[in-house]
Amino acid sequence: MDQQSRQLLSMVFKGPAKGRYQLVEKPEQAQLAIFDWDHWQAEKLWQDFRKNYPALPTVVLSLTPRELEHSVFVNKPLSVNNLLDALSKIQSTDVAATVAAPVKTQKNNRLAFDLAIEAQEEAFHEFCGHAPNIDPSNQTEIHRLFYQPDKYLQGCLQTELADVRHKLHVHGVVFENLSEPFLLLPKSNRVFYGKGFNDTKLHMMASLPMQCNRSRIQHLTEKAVADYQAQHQLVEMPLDHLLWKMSLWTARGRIPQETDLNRPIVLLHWPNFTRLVVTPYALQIAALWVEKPLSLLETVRVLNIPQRYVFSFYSAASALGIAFPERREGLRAEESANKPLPQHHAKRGLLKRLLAHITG
Amino acid sequence: MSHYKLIFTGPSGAGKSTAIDALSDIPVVTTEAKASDRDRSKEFKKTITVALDYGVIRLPNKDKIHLYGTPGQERFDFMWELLIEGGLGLILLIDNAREKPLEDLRFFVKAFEGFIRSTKVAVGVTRMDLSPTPSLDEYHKTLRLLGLNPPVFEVDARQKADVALLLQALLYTLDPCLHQEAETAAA
Ligand SMILES: Nc1nc2c(ncn2[C@@H]2O[C@H](COP(=O)(O)OP(=O)(O)O)[C@@H](O)[C@H]2O)c(=O)[nH]1
Ligand SMILES: [Mg+2]
Repeated sequence: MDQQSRQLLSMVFKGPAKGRYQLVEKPEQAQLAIFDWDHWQAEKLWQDFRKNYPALPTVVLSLTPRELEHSVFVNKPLSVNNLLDALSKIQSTDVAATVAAPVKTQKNNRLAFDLAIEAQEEAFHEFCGHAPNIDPSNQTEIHRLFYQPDKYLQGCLQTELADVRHKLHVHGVVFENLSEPFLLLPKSNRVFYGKGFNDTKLHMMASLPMQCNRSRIQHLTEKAVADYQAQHQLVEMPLDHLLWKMSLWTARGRIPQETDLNRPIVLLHWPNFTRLVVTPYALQIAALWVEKPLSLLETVRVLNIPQRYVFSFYSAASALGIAFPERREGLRAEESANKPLPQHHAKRGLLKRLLAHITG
Repeated sequence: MSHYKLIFTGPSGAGKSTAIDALSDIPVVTTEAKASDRDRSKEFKKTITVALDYGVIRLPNKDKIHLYGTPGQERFDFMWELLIEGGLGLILLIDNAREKPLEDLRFFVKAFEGFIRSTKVAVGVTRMDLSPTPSLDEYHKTLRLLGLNPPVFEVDARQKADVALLLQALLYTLDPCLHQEAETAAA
């Protein structure tokens, strides 16, 4: 499990759960487990898990309901309350009683996260890749930094969006070449898609190169949009959330072709991070860029972090249209070039301790 | 052991008490604070009392971060400038379901202008589940006109994760290189 999810869970356990649960490092120390069924290898992971821990009471999280032995199912999107309800439910069923539960004090219920964790760890790999830094002066390697959004669903969506934004009569765009219904509402910045489009599928769609087949793309009037929505069972998502996630999956730690590594990047404003995937160091990068536009390579150097995290953030923010290379000419560029880098805070030690406290 | 302050402000109902409660190591209490009005001459010096939300974060080395929630604008007055002296930064919560959230935003940014300039602010827009408009884009535009470009997140004050992320953003705004090891010796 990545740090972020770990922290989230640990915050839930310390906060709303009032210390009743505790994260442990290994499944064999656990009295309960949490399993994320939307991992792309969930089926296999589950079999391995059950081979080793056949009756460990487990809370299964997924977008699609499942019945599994010795487990309680929780539908995503996950809320703190749903999770806590499920945890207390599984403790009170017979299921829990079949497990040897040593000293079952109220405060000492332990929880395995290993499998969920594997899934989550994998998730950041999926989003940011795991490419090592590349020497930008190495002409044979440099191409590995780039990807062509146009060769993927991401580019197809973006081209369509740019195309129909100004067409008054187009209220919706339907993509017929996908395995599930998929409706884009450019005027209200929303997407609607079939229930089958879970994260696993979206991830696959996002990372497979594809041709944007215009003949399979339909433009809908207002009435046709309403009809389409009535005909299909659809799930809604803000367009930004989809574009963000999709571009992370497509980019996997790379940047759009022809992005200048040395030109300062302007970030128009902070992304809405409470509702978006927060990739590693995304908060730091945003804080830096709104203060002073810095090139991708300078950002890597100033923050002293792996290239792929800077590239991931840039790819996602540029897909949303909030990050782009600064124009070289002009007063603004000159002004920002002269801005000093943000200073170390006088109470850095204190801020670090506070940060550690809230991230758990 | 040292004492520090974080200030939470915004209209009543925006979720200040709830947010403080989410972060605080003690249940949030409403308490009275006294401050002397220093702006007047000695003869007229008087003590003002206001009700405020109070919580605290206890750090491992015994440092304490005091969390103060101001009253809404009905009962807001200049004494806040005195109370917040030395504060680390400002969390501004705006209730998107109120009548004119962007006016609320302007009110509080102006009220805390000096403090914001000398520290930083992070803006949480609450109750967007009840009222999705104005959009965050409109918040960004309004703030840009006020000369600011702070983090603006959709926040449900009842979700600790939301409140904690907003606070993280405030901390990184104060120092983007906070993750780095080296302490500055001086300062
Ligand atoms: N629906 C909804 N309710 C919220 C949200 N944030 C806070 N609340 C609720 O709003 C109410 C007012 O919050 P409170 O903390 O008392 O606001 P204060 O006046 O600023 O201290 C409480 O009942 C909260 O649970 C939100 O994002 N959505
Ligand atoms: Mg209150």
